[in-house]
Amino acid sequence: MVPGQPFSPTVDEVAPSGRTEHGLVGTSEQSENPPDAPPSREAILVLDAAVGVSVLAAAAAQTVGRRVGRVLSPVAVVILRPPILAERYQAGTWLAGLARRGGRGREEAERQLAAVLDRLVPAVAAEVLTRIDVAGMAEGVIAEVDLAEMIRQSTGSVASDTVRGVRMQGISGDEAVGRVVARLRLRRGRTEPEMTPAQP
Amino acid sequence: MRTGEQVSIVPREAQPYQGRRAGLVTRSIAGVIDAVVVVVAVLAGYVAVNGLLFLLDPRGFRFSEASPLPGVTTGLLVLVAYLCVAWSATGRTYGCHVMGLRVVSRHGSRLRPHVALLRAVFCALFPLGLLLCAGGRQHSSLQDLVLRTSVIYDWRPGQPR
Repeated sequence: MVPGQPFSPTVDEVAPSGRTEHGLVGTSEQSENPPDAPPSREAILVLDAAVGVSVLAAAAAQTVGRRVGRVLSPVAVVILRPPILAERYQAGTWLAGLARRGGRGREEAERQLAAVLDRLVPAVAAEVLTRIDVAGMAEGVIAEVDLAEMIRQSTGSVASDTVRGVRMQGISGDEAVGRVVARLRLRRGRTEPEMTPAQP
Repeated sequence: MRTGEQVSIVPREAQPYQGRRAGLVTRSIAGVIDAVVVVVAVLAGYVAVNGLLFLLDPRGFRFSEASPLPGVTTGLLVLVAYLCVAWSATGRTYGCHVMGLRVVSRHGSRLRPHVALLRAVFCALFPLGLLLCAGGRQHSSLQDLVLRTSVIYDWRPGQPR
């Protein structure tokens, strides 16, 4: 995609791998590195094993953390709130003050970030939209979801399924009657020349 | 589907038949439905008239006698009025609506009121003329041949195109 030009997928861009409007090309290159080829079974196994190891490690760390915390919590209370010191000199009090200050700073940073995003996002979105062929994309989506059929199904003014069935049965009956009449006519047309004398 | 393309709300299986002339079976079913509508309307009118008479004179009330000749005449009049109004207004009666039919002129447009009236009288007095539509290739009944009308499959709602 060229920057500054509207995005519109071409035939070559949207065509499946190895296929262009001129047929199959570059088979040797694509067989080495196919862009859309599914991952091999071994790769999926390795990936699953890695995920399993990670889950086990996380569970072990959680268990260890809980036990260590249970052991160290009395020690932490003694360190943060030593009874021999006045409350304002305790480490816990200092930590609480730091936490309050940090909270205020975080709220201020969030406010500033929201203000920046409010100014930045509309401008970025507008620039992105100018580079995208939205109408073309919408047409593609409509073509994919078969909007016509959805409208047909959702339009109650035409017919419900029962009425539709009755109508189609009627049409079938009309055609059957028409076929029978046509057959009778054909038979009469064959027999009549035999009855009448041949024309000179 | 292109953006400028019109979306047809007619189901795919019925689209090939749209605008083609309807045959005997569909038209007969529509006619039966219309006959039922008229009979129900006449019965409702009879009940309504008797209800009104009861309200006016409850003590001396007796059901009005339903003799055959006035009953049939009333039914035919209601039928003619019903068919005439329906064909000239929308091109379809309730039976035609159920069966997806429309009565149109030879140009494919809506019937004029006097043509609709003539056709309604003709259909009411000689319903057997419908049988003729089974034989012809054009599926034209006797009324269609005389008045140059036709009955087509048209599942689209609204006025004839």
